[in-house]
Amino acid sequence: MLREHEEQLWAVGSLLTTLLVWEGAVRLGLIRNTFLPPPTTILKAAVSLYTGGDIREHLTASGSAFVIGLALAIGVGVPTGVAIGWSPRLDAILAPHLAAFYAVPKLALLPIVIVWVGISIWSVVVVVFLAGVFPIIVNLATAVRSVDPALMQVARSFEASALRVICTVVVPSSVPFFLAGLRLAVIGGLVSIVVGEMYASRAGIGYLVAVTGATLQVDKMFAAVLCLTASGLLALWAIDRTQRQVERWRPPRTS
Amino acid sequence: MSQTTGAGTTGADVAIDPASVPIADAGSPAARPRRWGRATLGLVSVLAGLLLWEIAGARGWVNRIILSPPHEVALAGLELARSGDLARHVGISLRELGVGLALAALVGVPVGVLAGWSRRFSWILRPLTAVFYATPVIVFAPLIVAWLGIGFWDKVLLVFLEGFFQLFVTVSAGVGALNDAWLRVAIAFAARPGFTFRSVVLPGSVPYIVAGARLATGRGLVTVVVAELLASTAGLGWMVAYYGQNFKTAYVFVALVVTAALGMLGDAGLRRLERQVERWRPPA
Repeated sequence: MLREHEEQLWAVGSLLTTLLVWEGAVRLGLIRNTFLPPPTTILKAAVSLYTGGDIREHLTASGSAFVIGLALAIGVGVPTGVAIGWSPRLDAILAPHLAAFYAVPKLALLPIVIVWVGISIWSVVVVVFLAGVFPIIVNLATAVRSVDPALMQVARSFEASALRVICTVVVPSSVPFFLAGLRLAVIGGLVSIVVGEMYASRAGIGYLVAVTGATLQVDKMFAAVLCLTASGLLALWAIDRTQRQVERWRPPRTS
Repeated sequence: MSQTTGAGTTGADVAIDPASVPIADAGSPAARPRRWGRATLGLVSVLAGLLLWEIAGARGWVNRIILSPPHEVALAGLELARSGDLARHVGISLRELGVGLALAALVGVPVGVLAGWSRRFSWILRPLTAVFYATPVIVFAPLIVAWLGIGFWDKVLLVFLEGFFQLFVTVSAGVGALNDAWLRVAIAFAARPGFTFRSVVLPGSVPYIVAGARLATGRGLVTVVVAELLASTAGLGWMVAYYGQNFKTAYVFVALVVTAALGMLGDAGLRRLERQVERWRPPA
């Protein structure tokens, strides 16, 4: 019994020890309470933040910017990626531009984005979009290029049209690539939400973190960060789960 | 596929880059344009893009504040380079990045090797690193600024945290997956743990250290620039924020281009090192 669960025991033990040492260090005055409050204080702040309803406004602001940005990234990224993977000529034309965009840290575009669209939910939407669209394009293009050649040959022998081939061969076999790209887009999008809202906004989780962090309301800040971490883990968990389910029907590849 | 999922599981938004995707392998040989054709198309497309951008600015199709034409960006770059401003800001950003990464390597590599080597040690660390890994380090920027003030060390600390997790995750995963055959040989010859560590684990971990360093450098650069964007008095990120707020878009583009170039340069250098480190290794 003990041996079987040794891993979990060590993990839980280390987590509890850390929390206890942290709590103890603050209580004994080794760490100043204003700099880093103990876990119990953070927990209390988290409870009051969630039950007080303050968080709802911020969650709605961040959540809607995230969803709109990601939806735009999917809407633009999927067709672009499929087209690039499908046509080597288009790939040759767009590759240098994509490589250049890829190299620029998208978050550093924030000041320009604000010049473009102003400080609003849309500046955050744009950075989420920019963070998400490139991994989706690159992954979809790779997906289309790595479609099982045997399937393509069958389609070609039956004189299927390009549209038909894309719908029945390319899209189904691209799903895992799409999900892997989406995973990267979600990770990048979360960072973009936070930084976008920290840089300039009037609401959102990032705004909350920035205001509470800068004014040393550290307990509230950690409560907000916890909310962010939880949403991130939830989104990634959902994608991983879908990934596994999608993979289940797939017959082993013939090549 | 393995490449994509691999990148996904390390959770790095920079893990898949176009340069590593074998673009030339597309389709059947007959369907793809020949090598020079591809290069020419790319070149023509870049030139056409720049020309269109220039014309759009000159004709007033787009406001210059929104998108400065290329020649203005080039002039701004020349001016910043001549006055020495560019070198000064690049120097500051690179120093923050360098010190942060050095500290991250100093802590992250030994801890990563140990966690890969000892299962128990990795179990102890796993819950702590998992919590931090799921949280973007940059959220701590306002708090760290409140702790340390706006200056050099707040950026160093952020780069350190970002770099530490990248190195730790890559190195511990790599060392944990070291070739079992080597370890079994060491056990079969009754090598002491210290000897095995020095002759099998340490040399085996080198490629993962380099790979981790590459990830850490890429993300570290972004972290420095974003941290400077949020609160700073100098550096590339400061240039972006300052000139952006003053609607000097051409100067913003200069800072962005320099940042992108630095990132590509660092990545190319470490990629080269990665290949060199791999070269002596016999096929598994």
